[in-house]
Amino acid sequence: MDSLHHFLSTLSYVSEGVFLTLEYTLLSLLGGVVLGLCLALMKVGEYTIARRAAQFYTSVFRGTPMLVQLSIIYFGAPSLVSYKISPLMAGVFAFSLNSGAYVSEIIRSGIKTIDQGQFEAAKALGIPYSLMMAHIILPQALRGILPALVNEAINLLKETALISTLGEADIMRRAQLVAAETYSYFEPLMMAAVCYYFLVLLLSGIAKLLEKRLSYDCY
Amino acid sequence: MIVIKNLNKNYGHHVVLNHLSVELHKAEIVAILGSSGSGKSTFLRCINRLEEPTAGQVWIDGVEVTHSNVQQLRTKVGMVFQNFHLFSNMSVIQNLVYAPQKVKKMPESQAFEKAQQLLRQVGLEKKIKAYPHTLSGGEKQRIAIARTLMMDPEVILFDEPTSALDPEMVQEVLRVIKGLASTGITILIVTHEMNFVREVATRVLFLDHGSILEDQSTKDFFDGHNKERIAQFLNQATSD
Repeated sequence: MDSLHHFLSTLSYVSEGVFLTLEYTLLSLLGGVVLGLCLALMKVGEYTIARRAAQFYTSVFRGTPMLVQLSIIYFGAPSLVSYKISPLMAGVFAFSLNSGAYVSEIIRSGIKTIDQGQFEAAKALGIPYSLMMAHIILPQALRGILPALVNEAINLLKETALISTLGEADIMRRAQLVAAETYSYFEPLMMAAVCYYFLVLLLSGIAKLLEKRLSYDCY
Repeated sequence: MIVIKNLNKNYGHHVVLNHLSVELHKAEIVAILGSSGSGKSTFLRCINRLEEPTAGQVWIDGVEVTHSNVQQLRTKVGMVFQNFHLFSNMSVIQNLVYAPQKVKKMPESQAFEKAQQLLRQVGLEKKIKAYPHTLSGGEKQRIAIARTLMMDPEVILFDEPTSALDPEMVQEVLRVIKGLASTGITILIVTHEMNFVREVATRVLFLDHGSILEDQSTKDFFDGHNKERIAQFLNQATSD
């Protein structure tokens, strides 16, 4: 009876971290998609400087570990500017910057798969570039890149476990705390894994619904 | 009136259009003929600046549109493509009303009314809510023509509008284009449909290696040509 009670209280404590994990994931996803969209538009645009800048950005953020980026922002940057940044701000900032690099490549590749004729038809009708991208090209690109975007969201969700290094009480940190207190690692870490897995299943389910909505059959 | 002066288009060292000059008058139906690679499509694409000419000028109604005024140009000059290029994320009606509403600021009710009228004109009023992937090639092309007409263009450029269609769908598209011939719209059409050219075109431009080899009325072109190159082309085109 005692062990069941202990199991349930551990599960309850670890799973309370779900909300924080989701908060980091959703805010970072939003930041990453907005940033990724801007970078992707720079990459497919006609301005060489913007294109090169976006490519350089992507190369830097894909070429360095997430943990290093997070540590620079949380531990390194404040010492330069004498400003203490909150873990939430540092985490969301770092994850958004990192995710933006990956999302930009996903969106860029989606835009590149759109038939050139769609661009030409829009141009021939005098439709301005911004409207063409917003209403014709990106909606078509989104249909193709949705699975890749979901993958990125799943990666992001799992990467948020790094905020445990900043002392934030997310799923991972809570599991570590229980482990340190009870000297039993297997149980709490398995619980953390199960929590992450269910969150990923939830995300995948939402994505499937979205994919169905965006498919041609629904038109 | 469209005036084209010394139009040149090169891809690297390859010359596609070679000092092409021509004047096209209102309500003319001009067929542009020539063998593959003679520069027919590039000529059309340079007129509405889907390709930037390497040199030369295009004037429309006295306004030079080669280097600026691209928006003004495109509200006057519509284009119909070989592969239709309907916006695949939009229904037929959305394809028709989008540009007039966004570009010409046409009120929604007026745009819908005009779209319905044009769909009736091309015989597709029942397809108003359909999406492009559910339409046949001929239907897509007729919708594409209606979409171009929504902008009230003074000139329509047809770039091989029937080349991607099955034979039985060619006639339904040509019928729609024939119907436009009497409306006062200037038409430039690149086509291999010689019967259509004989019947509908008022003038023929024959392009060869990026230059105009012949510029004649349709009757003179088919009856009185005396150039070996054209005879060879016509023999091939009519035997196909």
